Order: sequence, then C-alpha cells, then structure tokens
Amino acid sequence: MPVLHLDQVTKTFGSLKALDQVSLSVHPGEVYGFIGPNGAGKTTAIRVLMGILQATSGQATLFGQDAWKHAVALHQRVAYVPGEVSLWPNLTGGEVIDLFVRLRRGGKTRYEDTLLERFDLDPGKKCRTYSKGNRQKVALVAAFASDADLYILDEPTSGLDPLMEEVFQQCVLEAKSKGKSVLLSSHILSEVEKLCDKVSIIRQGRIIESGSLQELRHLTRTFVRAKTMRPVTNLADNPHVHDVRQEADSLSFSVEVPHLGEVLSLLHEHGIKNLECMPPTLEQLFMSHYERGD
Amino acid sequence: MRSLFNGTFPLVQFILRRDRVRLPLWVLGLSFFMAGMVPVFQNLLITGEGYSVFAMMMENPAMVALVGPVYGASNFHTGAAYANMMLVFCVIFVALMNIFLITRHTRADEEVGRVELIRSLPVGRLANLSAAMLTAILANLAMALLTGLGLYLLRGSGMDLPGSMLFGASLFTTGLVFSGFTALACQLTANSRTAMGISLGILMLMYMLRAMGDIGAEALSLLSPIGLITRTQVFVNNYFWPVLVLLGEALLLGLYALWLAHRRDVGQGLIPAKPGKRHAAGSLSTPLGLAFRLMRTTALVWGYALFILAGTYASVFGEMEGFINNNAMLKVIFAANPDFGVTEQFIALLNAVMVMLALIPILTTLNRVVSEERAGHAEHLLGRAVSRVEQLSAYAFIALLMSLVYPLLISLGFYGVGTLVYPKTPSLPVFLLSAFTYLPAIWVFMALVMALTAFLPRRAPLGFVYLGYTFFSIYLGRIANLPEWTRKLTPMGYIPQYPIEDFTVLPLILLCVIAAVLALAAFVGYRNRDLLAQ
Repeated sequence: MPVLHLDQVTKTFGSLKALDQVSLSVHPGEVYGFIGPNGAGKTTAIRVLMGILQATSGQATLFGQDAWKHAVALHQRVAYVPGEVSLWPNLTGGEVIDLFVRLRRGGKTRYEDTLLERFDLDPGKKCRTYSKGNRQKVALVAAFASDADLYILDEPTSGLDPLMEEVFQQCVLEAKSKGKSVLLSSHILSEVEKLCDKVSIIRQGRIIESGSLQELRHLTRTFVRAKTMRPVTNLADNPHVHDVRQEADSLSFSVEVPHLGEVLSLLHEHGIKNLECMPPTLEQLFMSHYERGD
Repeated sequence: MRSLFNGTFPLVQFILRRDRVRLPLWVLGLSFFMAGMVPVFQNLLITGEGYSVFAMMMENPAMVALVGPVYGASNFHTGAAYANMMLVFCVIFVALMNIFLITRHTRADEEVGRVELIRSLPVGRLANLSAAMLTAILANLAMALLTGLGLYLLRGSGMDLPGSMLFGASLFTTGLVFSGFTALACQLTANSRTAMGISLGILMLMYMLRAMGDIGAEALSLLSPIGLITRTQVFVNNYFWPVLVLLGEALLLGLYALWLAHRRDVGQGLIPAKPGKRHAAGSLSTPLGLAFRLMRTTALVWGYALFILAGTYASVFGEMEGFINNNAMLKVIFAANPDFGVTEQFIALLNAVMVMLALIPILTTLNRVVSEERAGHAEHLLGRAVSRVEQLSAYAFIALLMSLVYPLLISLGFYGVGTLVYPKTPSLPVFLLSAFTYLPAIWVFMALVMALTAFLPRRAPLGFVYLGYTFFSIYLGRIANLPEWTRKLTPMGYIPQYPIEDFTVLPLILLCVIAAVLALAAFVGYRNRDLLAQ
C-alpha cells in the first residue's frame, strides 16, 4: 500500500485548472522526486495532500486514509516543509521550532541541538531578522526533529547555500535509511537526481512523465563523443541521431537509446579510436520533455 | 568634514520620493485636524457661561493631569480652551510622526541592509542620518506653518496671528526634540523595533512627567518637553522662551546622535543585542497558546486604554452635568429625557461608545485568523496535528475573554474614578449592568466576523465597515437626528439603554441566538473551505 497516493486529482480555482487528473504514488521507503517549473502545480498538489486545499475531484490519501477528512490524525505521522516558509516576526527561531515540534503532538517536546549545529542555525534570533535560507532551516530542523513516517518537502533547498544543501541531502538519506518515505518537490534537478528513486514530471497541472530514473532515461537520448580513424559522413542521415557536431578531431551527437547499437556498429566500421557515452542527465531529460510539449 | 555629509541632499530627495504619500498624509492630516477643531470649540463654547463652566471642568485635577494646566481661566476664550485641550495631544501626534519618520529612514533601513547599499556609493558616513533629520525638519516646518495659518484663518475668540504661529512653532520644536530622541535611540540598538520602543517609551515618560508635574511638583513638568511647551501659554500670554529652550535641546540631541553615529559601525548598535530565547515557554504548545502570545500586547494595551478612557470620562462627571445643562446642543444629544439625571443618561451613551471602541481589538483578534492564513503562518499549524476548529476557536476564545473583561474594566474605570470626584455617581452594579447589557451585541459582531472568516475570507474586514456604520448610526445619529430604523440595522440598536430604559431580556436572548447560529455556521464553514494562499 502506498504511503501517499493521488488518484486522478483535479483542482480548479475558478476557471483555472491548477491540477488536471494528477496521479502519483509513493511507496514505503521511497524518495520520490516531484519536478516541474514554478507554477506547474507542485505546491497545489502538495497542499491537497496536506489537507490545506480540498480536491475538486479525485482522491488524495496518506497511509490509505483520506488526506482531507483525516488531516489531523494523519499529520501526526507526516513532517511538512512548505515552499514559502513565512514565520512570526517576533518569535525567535528556537521558539518556533519548539512550537512546531510540540504541535505534531507525537509526545516529543524537545529536539536535538545537533540538528541546529548541522544546519548552523542560531535559534536565539527573532524570525524578523532571518533570511529566506534561515527561515527554511527553521522549518527543516522542525521537520527532521520529528520522527515522522513521511516527509513532504516543497522546494526545501531553494534558499540554502551549497553547504547546507549537502546537510539537507544527508538528512534525507538518513531518513531513507530508517525506512521513511519522502516526497521531494524541486526544480534543482541535480538534487533530485542524487536523492530520488522515482520521479514525476508535472507541467501545467498534468503529470507528463513518471517512473524510475532508469526508465525515464530509456525514453531519451544518450550523448556520444567519438574519435574515429576515418571521418564518418553519413551519420546525420540516420533518423535516430541528433545534434551532430564535428569538433576538431572528434564527433559528438546524441542518439535515441533503443538505436544505440546500430549507430555504434556504424561508428565501428570507421574504426573507433576513442568513445565516450554519457547517460542523459535529469536536466536533459527534463528539457526534452518540456520541448516536446511545446 | 564635508565628506561625512556628502550626498545628504540627494538622500533627502530620495526620502521625500519614497514617502511622497506617507509624509503629506501625516502633515496635511495633522494640520487639517488641528485647524478643523477650532470651529468645534468655538461652536461648543458659544456663551460666556459656557466658557467659565468649561474652564472649571478643565481645572479639575484629573483633566489637568490629562491635558495640562489651565491658563487665563478668569477670562476664558476659545483660544485658551483650544490650547489647553489640544496642545498636549497635538504634540504627542507630532512626536509620533517624528519617531516613525526617523526610525523608518535610519535604523529600519539599516537593519534590512539598505543603508549598506547606499554607503557603498560615494556617500558620507553621516549622510543617512543627517538626511533623515533634515527631512524631519522640513516635515515639521511644513506642518507648523500650515497649522499656524489654519488656526489663524479659522480663528475663534482670543486667537491672534502671533498666538497661532506660536502654536505652530511649539509643534515644530517639540517635534524636533522627539526626532532627536529617536535619532539617539537608533544609535543605541541594532533593532529598529527596539529603537522605536525606546522612543515611544521616552514619549510616554515625558507625558507622565508632565502629568505629575502639573498636578504637583512643577519642576518635573518643566523637565519634560511636553510640559515645557505648555508654558508658552499660547493665546493667553504667548511666551516664546520655551520654544527657544526646546530648539536648543533638539540641537544638542541631534548633534549627540550624529556624534554617536560617527563612532559606530554600520549595522551595529552601541548596546549589544541580547540573544533571544532559544526555547519556547511551556505555554507555547498549542494554537491557543500561540494565539495568546500573538494577541497579548494588543489585548493588554487596549484594556489599559479603555480603563484610562473610562476613568477620564468619569473624572468630569460632576462638571459634565453642569456643562451639558448649560449647552442646548449637548443637552439634546446627551440628556433628552427629563425624567433622568444627566449623568445617568450619559452612562448609557458612554457605554455604547466604549463598547464600540472595545469591539476594535475584539474584531482585530478574530480577523487574525484570516491574516494568519494570508501570511502563510496558518499552514504551519494546519500542516501539523491541528484542526481547523482548534485554530478558529483559539482566536474566538480570546475574543470571548476580551468581550467579558473589557466591559468589566470600563465599568471599574467609570465607577472607580467617578466615586472619587462626584458623590452622585451611580453604584457599581448600575455601571456593570449597563455595560454588560451590550454583551449580546458584541457577540453578534464576533459571530459575524467569524462567519465572514469562514465564508467570505477575503471580505473579512467588512466587520469593521459594519462597526463604522454602527458608530455612525448610534453616536452621530443622535446629533444628526437620523430616523429610528437606521439604528435597527445594527445589533447595538436593540440593546436597552439601561438605566434610562427598562431592562428587557427578549431582544438580548434573540441576539444571543443569532450569535450562536452564526458562530456554529462559521465553524462548519471553516472546516470545509480551502486555506487562503499567501
């Protein structure tokens, strides 16, 4: 049974369709990447899952229970970091973290100072004086201080510096090693690529692609750079080869993955001196999906 | 030397550009208000007898403590009455304008890093502070001239040109003194809120020094700029020396602030910031605990203000009776019923006014539910194990407490001070009953705002519009003699005017039922709507 499930969820605001038949499942122990540009519907989907918005149609469930109806009970098992962390200006960060930890009502009233040290957060300052990154750290500390079963994180690193991003990634991996599940929305693809087992790409309120990174890579092209004894002239004629570029003494192109073999044997005929094959990065994958949609 | 102030004038222009709406609003609003009050005084005090009664009322120690000493009582005229009643209050408003202006353009800008941006340009180290001070001088000057001219144009008896200009000059110099205090406070602390708090504290201290000095040790009053400026005896003797003394004081304060600013680093305060709490108190564990924490200051300040205001009204119960009896217009408004004493008729109306004032913090508390959503704060709570009902009831509970405590404070203020100064003051139960009779109307207002929160969250401020209408129909309706139905459009119009009317229970029960139904609907509605986005 998935810990988190969206089943054909549609959400409209007036005439605007923010989510259109969105389906998505996160299973126990999975770190699931939810990627798409700003305004694609990531935050709306997450807010439906958190019982903050009610789905217009379809069903959102956490741990098999309706996310809207049973929101309060379900939230005891969930840690949530909203996309835009806005805090009370006259409370200190430490007060807010304590409040957040207590409001999960999991019996836990204190948290480990080590988490503060790892995120390098001074809890004695008023939230008014915190930068965006520091406000995010407050929310992240409160989230990782809880022993939740499911972490729902909405672009949690958009204000963090690279060092803190690293700390965040460690925290996610630690949670994963304890068998927790994570839904991570992001547009920082390298992060998703590093952490996530599965990915869904959302665009204009629709999921346009879902699957493991492996599966998704099959749908796209591999980048090849080769040096051959004799110049390859007829490569561009192959319908499965794209972006052919002849550099000083090497040739670079991308090829659709199912046709890699036939192209390689073509190269072989010209005598391969050197060959590099690079799997597509998530970046390229993402871009190719977005280009295809236009 | 020049390099320290380099860029001051362009920065003044920049401040004026940034405040092109705010500053004219302050300056025009204050000067129009001050000039506009002159005809009010002139019309209220039309008869010779009216003047002497008014002077007697003002000589009451409570009034002296509130607004300052009376000058020229033997030959009281509009000018003397106006200066007596208005000068201290106007000075406070002008001081507030200066405090906000200076903190906004010095420490607040520094705190968010704007000053650092400016400093990276070829701009002198003291340019920012001197530009803010120069702007304050300009704003105070404009306001002083407009007020002086306005007073003279709308002049009442005893108001000549030198007096009008002296009134303006008094505001100008006290304004600058408070600019100086604020500039100083902004050097002390790195936090703009703290700087503003220190400045407001100084203002309050100076007001209290004056109050104590005016009813006892006069030296205290002379120490306070607010007390000293009343010694100009505007429109009576027109002494200019207090203005000169205060100008010197403002200059010294300004120079001291500049010197301190010169000695410190950007972004730093002379008093090191003390670290805040690293952990929350135990009370900060529930939505109710958080709501208490967020509304604490508002609730206490309003409670204190309502109590003081009620006491102030009560301090003039005795004089008020004579004053109203002597004024045909006021008699129509406050004492149309010949069967009851003036004070008794006065109580019902006073309580109506006080309750409407008390509704401001009560409705503000309930509106906080929506503003917490808008600010993106509610999401943190509702994303944890907190239900919608719990969140709404946290604020509803605090509003309910306020609705019970405020009428009590108002009654205590009326009765406590009233019995001290006026032997014919009614008993405490009369005050309590009169005030608590309004409770069902308060609850209808509360339930209405809750229903707006649930069903029309973007229109939640409509509660205040309705309160404004209520004030208009209940208070001004009497003066303007509006038809009865205008009062029946608001819950306040159904409250029996105890003690002048009989205490009838039926309308009160009906109001309670309406409130209960609306509140219940609000809870159901709030459970079923989407949270507002930021």
